[in-house]
Amino acid sequence: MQQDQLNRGDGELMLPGEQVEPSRRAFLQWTGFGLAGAMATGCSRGPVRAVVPYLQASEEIVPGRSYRIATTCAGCSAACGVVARCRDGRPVKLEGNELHALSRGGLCAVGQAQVLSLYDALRIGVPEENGQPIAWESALTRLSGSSKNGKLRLLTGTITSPSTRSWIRRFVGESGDRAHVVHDALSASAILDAHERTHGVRALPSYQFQAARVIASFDADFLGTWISPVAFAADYAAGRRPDGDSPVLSRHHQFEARMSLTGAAADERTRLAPWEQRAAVAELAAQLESRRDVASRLGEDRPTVDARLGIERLADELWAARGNSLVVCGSNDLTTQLFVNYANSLLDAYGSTLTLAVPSLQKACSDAAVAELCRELEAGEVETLIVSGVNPAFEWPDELGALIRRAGTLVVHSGERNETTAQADLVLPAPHALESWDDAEPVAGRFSLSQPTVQDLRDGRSLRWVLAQVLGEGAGERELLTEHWRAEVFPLVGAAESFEAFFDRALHDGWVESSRGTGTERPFDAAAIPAVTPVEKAEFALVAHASLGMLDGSHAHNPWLQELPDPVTKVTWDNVASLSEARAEALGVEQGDVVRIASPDGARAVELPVFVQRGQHDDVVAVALGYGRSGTDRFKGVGPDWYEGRPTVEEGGTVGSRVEALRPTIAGRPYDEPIAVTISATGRRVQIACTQEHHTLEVPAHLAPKGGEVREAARTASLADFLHDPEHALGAHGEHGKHSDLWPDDHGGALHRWGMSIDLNRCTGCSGCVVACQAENNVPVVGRDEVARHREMHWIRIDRYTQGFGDATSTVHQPMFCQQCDNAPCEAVCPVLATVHSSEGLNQQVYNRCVGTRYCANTCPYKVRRFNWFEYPREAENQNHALNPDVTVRSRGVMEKCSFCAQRIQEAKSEAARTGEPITDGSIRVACQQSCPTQAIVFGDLNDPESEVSKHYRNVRAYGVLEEINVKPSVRYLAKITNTADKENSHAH
Amino acid sequence: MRTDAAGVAPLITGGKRPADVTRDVCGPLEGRPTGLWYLGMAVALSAFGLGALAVGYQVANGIGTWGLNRTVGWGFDITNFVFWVGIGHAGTLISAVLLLFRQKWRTSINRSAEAMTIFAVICAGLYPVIHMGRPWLAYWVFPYPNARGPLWVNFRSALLWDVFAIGTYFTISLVFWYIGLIPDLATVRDRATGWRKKVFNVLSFGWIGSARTWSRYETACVLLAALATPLVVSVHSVVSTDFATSVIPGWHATLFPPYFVIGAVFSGFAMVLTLMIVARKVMRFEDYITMKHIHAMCKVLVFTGSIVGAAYLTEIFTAWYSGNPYEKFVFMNRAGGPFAWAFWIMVSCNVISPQLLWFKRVRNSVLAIFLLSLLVNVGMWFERFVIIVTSLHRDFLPSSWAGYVPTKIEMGSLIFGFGLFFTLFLLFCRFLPMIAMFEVKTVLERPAQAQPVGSLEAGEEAAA
Repeated sequence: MQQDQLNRGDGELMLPGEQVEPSRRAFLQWTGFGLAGAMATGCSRGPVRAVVPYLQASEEIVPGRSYRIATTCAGCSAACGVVARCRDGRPVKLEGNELHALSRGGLCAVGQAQVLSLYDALRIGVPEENGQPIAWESALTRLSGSSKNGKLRLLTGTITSPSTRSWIRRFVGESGDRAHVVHDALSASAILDAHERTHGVRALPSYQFQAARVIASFDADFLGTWISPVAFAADYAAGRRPDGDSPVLSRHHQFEARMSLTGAAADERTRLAPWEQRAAVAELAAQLESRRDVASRLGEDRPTVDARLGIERLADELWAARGNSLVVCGSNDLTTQLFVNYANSLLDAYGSTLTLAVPSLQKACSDAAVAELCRELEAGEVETLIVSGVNPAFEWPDELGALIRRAGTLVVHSGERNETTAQADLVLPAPHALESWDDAEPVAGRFSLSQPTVQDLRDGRSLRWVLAQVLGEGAGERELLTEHWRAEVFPLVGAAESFEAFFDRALHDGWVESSRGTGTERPFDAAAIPAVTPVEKAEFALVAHASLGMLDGSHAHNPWLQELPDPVTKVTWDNVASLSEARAEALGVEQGDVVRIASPDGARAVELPVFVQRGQHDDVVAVALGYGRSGTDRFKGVGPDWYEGRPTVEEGGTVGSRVEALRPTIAGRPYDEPIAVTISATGRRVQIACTQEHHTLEVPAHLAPKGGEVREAARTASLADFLHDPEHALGAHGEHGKHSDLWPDDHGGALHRWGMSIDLNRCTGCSGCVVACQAENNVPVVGRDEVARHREMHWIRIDRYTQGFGDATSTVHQPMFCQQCDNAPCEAVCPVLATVHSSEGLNQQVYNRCVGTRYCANTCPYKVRRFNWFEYPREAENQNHALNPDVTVRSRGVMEKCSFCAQRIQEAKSEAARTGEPITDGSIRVACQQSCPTQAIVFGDLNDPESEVSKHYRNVRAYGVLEEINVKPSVRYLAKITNTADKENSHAH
Repeated sequence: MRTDAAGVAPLITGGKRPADVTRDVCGPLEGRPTGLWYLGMAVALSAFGLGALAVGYQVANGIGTWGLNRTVGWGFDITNFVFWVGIGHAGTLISAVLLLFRQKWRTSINRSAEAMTIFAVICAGLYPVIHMGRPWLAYWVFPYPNARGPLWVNFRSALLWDVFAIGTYFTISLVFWYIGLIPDLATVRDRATGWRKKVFNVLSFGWIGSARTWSRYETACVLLAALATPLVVSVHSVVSTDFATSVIPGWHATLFPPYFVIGAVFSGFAMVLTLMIVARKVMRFEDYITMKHIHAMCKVLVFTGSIVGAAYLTEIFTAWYSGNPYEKFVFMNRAGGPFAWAFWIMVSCNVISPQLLWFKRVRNSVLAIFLLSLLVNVGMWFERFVIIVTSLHRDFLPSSWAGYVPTKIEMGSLIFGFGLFFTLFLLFCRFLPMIAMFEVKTVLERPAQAQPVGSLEAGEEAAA
C-alpha cells in the first residue's frame, strides 16, 4: 500500500477539510476494510444483556411454566386470600386461594383486576417533596423533622394488617400528641358505634349468612360492595340449595331505595326511601318486642310506617326462624343500627347468624374520630397530617376535603396520584400489594400473609417500614413482618413446629388460624336503645352508593374495572343518575338525557346522564360513588383513534362525575343520609355506553307474537312450585333433544368431552368471572365509544333480565359465553375453516386462519363471538406484562370468543401425559369458574358420568339455552329457584 | 325474424338500413365524446374516487370504521354485494334466456345489459373482499394446493359456494359478452384507421365474416347461452343460501332461492331500464331502443314485481304457520320495529310502485317509467338491507339486541360501488359498440325491395 489516500504518495499529510479524490484502488480498499470490519463485528458476541435473569436458577422457576404464590388481596379491606399465578418472575393472573377460610377460592372483579394496577405506568415511583423527586433518606428526614413537634394525626383507611397496626400503636405512643384516625369512604362506623353502646365493645360482628334461614337486609349490599362480599356471597349461596333430599333455600327480604345487586337476588324486594329506613327498622324491632313479650323500649308512639312495607309479615317470618334469622343494615345512622342490633338480639341472632365473639376487622372506621379530626384541622391545631391509603380530598365533601391543607405539613403515603397527593408537601410512594410484604387479619385470629410476587417495579415502601424508620428502628420490609409474626402471631397459633417452619407454612398456604377472639358473646344492653325519632323526609333524595367496580373510587385508574359493565345497570365508563320509570316520565327525560342534580341551595351540582332503572324508589336518584376521579383523563387515548371515534374521556375531563361533592356535612361528619337534592333536565343528551339495550326477556309488547311474548333464555320457578312438581314448574321443555338425529352420533371415542354448567340459583351477577376471563384470555379494553357502539370484547358477559315493576321487580343474572355447540352454526359457515370442532367437543377458533368475514358471529344464536374491529392498543406498554403468555393476543380483523380456557385444558393434559396420572374431575378449573365466589360455574368431563358437571347435567333444573334450535350446546343452565311467598309469581321466565 | 310480417309494429323505427345502423352505433366511438358524457364521467369518477378513499380508509384502519357491532355483523357491505349480484342478473337473462326463447326485441339491449352484468358482478365481487377483517388474505377462500399446510377451504360454507357461483357467473358472462362483441368489433375495425384499427384487429380476433365463420359463431352462441342459462338461476340461489342455511330467524327459510332469483331479475330489469332510458336519450338511440322495448321490459317488471310481492307474503305466512315465536317476532319487528321505515320503503317500492304500470298513462311516459325503475332499484337495495339488518339486530337473546347506524365511511363504500359501476359503463359506451349491430340488422324493417337479410348480410357488411 505505497500510495493511498492518506499520504497521496508524496509524503504530504492531508489537511483537515481538504478534498480528496479517491482512486478506484482506494475505493476498493475502503470497501474491503468496511466489509471485513462488518464481518468481524458480526462475529463478536456483543454486550451481554440480561436475557436470563437468574445467575443461579431459582428452584421453582422454570422459564415458560407458571408457578403460584399465595398472598392477600388488597383491593378492599375484606382481605381475601389470593394466589398469584406468575410466569418468569411476574404475576399474570390472580386467583382465589381455595385454602382461605373466608373467601374460599372466590375473587371479585376488583380483586381480579389488581394484577393490572400493578403494572400501572403512572404509579408513584419515588418520594416527592413539593412535586420534586427526592431520595428516601431526605423524605424520611423531612418526615421525622416535622413529626417531632406539635400535633400529629395519622389518617388511614381500615388497616387489616396486624403488624402495621402494631407499628402504628408504637408510633402514636402514649403522649397524646399523636393519634390515629381511621376513615373509610364506605363507612360502617355506625355499626361499630352501635355495638359499643349495646354490647360494650366497638366491633364489627362477623355475619354468617349460611346459617340464616330468613334474611332481612335494609340497604345492605352484602353481595356486591358491603364489608366482605366474596365471603358473604359464598355463605349466602350455601344457604340456598334447592336440590337433593333436604333442599334449603333461605328467604331473603331486601328493603332499599335503589336497585342493588343484593336486591336483585332477593326473594322479596321492597322499595324503601332512605328517610323511611329508621322507622321501618324500629317498627320491626317493636314487632319483635311484642312477639318476644319483653317490656317495650320503643313505646307506642312510634312513627307510622307504610303498610306496603309488610314489616309485620317480615317480623312473623323472622320470628318463626328465630335463632336462624338475621337483620343487616347498610345505613350509617347510629340510631338505625341500634334498632338493628336490638332486632338481632330479640331474634337470638347473636352467636348464631352473627357473632361478636370472633369480630370482623374489615371495617374499623370511626366517623366521630373523623369529625374530631376535621374540627382540629379547622382550628389549625394539627401540625402534621399523614394520610395513608385514603383520599380525603376526593372522598370527603368539598368543605371537609379542603381542611387537609390546614395541617402544617401534609404527608401522603400513596401508590397512585390522587386528589390528596396533589396537595401534599411530601409524597411517599406506597408499594403495590403484589410487590410487598404484608399481612392481614380480616377476622380476629385469622391471619394471612402477602408476599412479593415480582421484584419491585417502583421504589414504594410500606407504612410499617416508614413508621419504623421514623421511630429509628429501621429494618427490612420482610424483617419487620417476620419479627411481628415471631412475637405476636406465632405464640397465638401455638404451633408445635419451629417459627421458621411455621412461617414457611403460612407463606405457602397464605393463611393461618389462631384461637384469638374466640371469646363468648357479650350481653346485650337494652338500655342503649333510644326512643324512635323520625328522620326528616326529603322531597327527593340522592342515594350515593358504592359501585362494584370503583368501590370508594380507589380503582378508578383501572381500565378493566372502568370497562366492566355495572352488574345492575350494565353501564361502563360512567356513573349514571338512576331514576325510576315514573320519575323519569315525570321529569320528561329518557335514558341518556343529562340531568342536573343539585343541593337544595343550588351551591353544588353534578350533571349526569339518566338511566331508567326498574324497581327503584320514585323519590330518589341513585348515583355511584367513586367516579369523577382526577387523572382519569389518562383514558382519553383508550380505544381506537379514527375519524368518527369519540374519546373515552375528554382532555382534562374525568370518567363519570364526582357525586361525593353533593354529600353535605352535618355536625362535622362527612356523611349523613338522606341527602336532599333537586333534579332538573338540562336538555342535553349523551350516549351511555351500556352493554345491554333491552333489559327484559319480554319482547316489546307491540311486536310480541301470541305465545312468544317472553323469551325463555333464563328460567325461574318458585320453590313451592318446584318442590311440588319440578318438571312442570320449569315448563314442559323436556322434549327438546329427545328426538333422534338423522345422523348417528359417531363422533364419540375421544377420551374427554368438555362441558359446563351454570347454576343460575348461585349466580349473583357479581361479574368477578368477567374480569377473571379478561385477565386470563388477554381480552383488550376497547374504550367508551366502542362499548357504546356495542363492540365490547368480554368473552363472558352477564345477561341481566328484569321482570315486573316497582316492588315486584325480579331480576335474573345469566352468564353467557360460547356454548361450544356440538352442532355449531358458526363452524358450518366459515369459508376458511377458522372455527372447527375438536374431538373433545370444543369449538375452536383459529385466529391466524381467520380472514374476518363475521359470518360466524352473525349466525351465532347466542351472539357471543367478538370481532376485533380495530387494532385495540394497550394503554401503556407496561400493561403487556399482565398478558397471559399462554394465550395469543389477537390482532385486528379476526374473530375471537370463549375457548373454555383451552390453554388450561392443554396444560392439564400435558401434565397428565408427563406424570402418567389421568386427569381427575376438578383438576381443570377454567378462569371464570375459579373466580366465582358462589361456585355457580362447574366445568368438567361429560364422558365421566361421576364428574360434577355430569351430575349437573342430570339435575332436574338443567336446561340448555336455545336447545330447541338443535345447536346442541355444551353448557347447561340450572334454573333459578326463588323462595317467593305466593305461587302467582312462579313462571318459567 | 321478419318482425313486421304479421303486422306487428317494427322493433327498430326510423326506416334504418343496415348501413345506418353501422353509422349510428359506430359513430359515437369515432368522434369526440359529448359534453354530457364528460359530465357523466366527472360525476362517476368523483363518486368512484370518493368511494375509493372511504374503502381505502376502512382497509387501512379496520372494519370498525363501519357502523357494525357484535350483533349486526353485516350491514351495507353484504347489502351492496347482494344488490349488485342481483343487478347482474338481467344481462344473462336477456342475452341467454331470451336468445333461447327467440325474443327478438332483446337485440337492442342485450349488449348493454351484458356489459351491465359484467360491471355489476365486478362491483359485487369487491364487497366480499373489502368486508373481510383481513382483506389481504382474501385469496384464502380459493381451494388450491397451497403451502399453508396445505389448508383447505370449508365446502360446507355458503360463502365458499358464493365464490364458486360468482366466479363461474363472471367467467361465463364475460366470455359470452366478448364472443357476442367479436363481429361488431370487426365492424369497428373496418371503419377505423391508425392505432384504433390495430387494437380492434386484435380484439376482433381477425374476424373475416365468412359463411363458415358465421355458422360456427352462431353455434357457439347458442351453446354458451345454454351454458349460461342455469347460471341465471344458480347464482342468486347460491347467494340466498348465505342466509337460508343459517339458523337466524328471518334468514332460515327454504323460500329464499326462488325468492332471491326473482328479486334479482326484478332489480336487474329495473337497472337495465334505468340505463337504457338514459342511454337512448344521450346516445340518440331512440330508434333502436323504442317504446316497444321499454314496454316489454315494463311487462317483465310488473310480472317479477308481483312475484316478489307474493314472496313477501309467503315469507310472512310461513312465519305465522311455523308457530315459531322467533320467526313470528322477526316479521312483527320488521313491520313495526326500529327498522320499520326500511321495511315499508321496500314494500312500497317493490310491490306497490310497479303496479302503477297497469295504467296506460304511466306506461307511455318515459319519465314515469324512469322514476319507477329508480324506485325499484331503491326498493331492492332496501330489501337486502331489511333481510340482513332486521334479522340480525334482534335475534334470539334479548340481551344482545342492538341497533345499527351506518357511518360515513360506510356510505362511502356504497358510493364506491355506484361510482365504479358508472365509470365502467361510461367507458363501455365510449369505446365499445353499445348496440349489437349485427343482431339489430337481423330485425330491421324489411325495405320494399327484397334483400338478403339475416346474419349473412351483416357478415358481408362487416367483412366489407
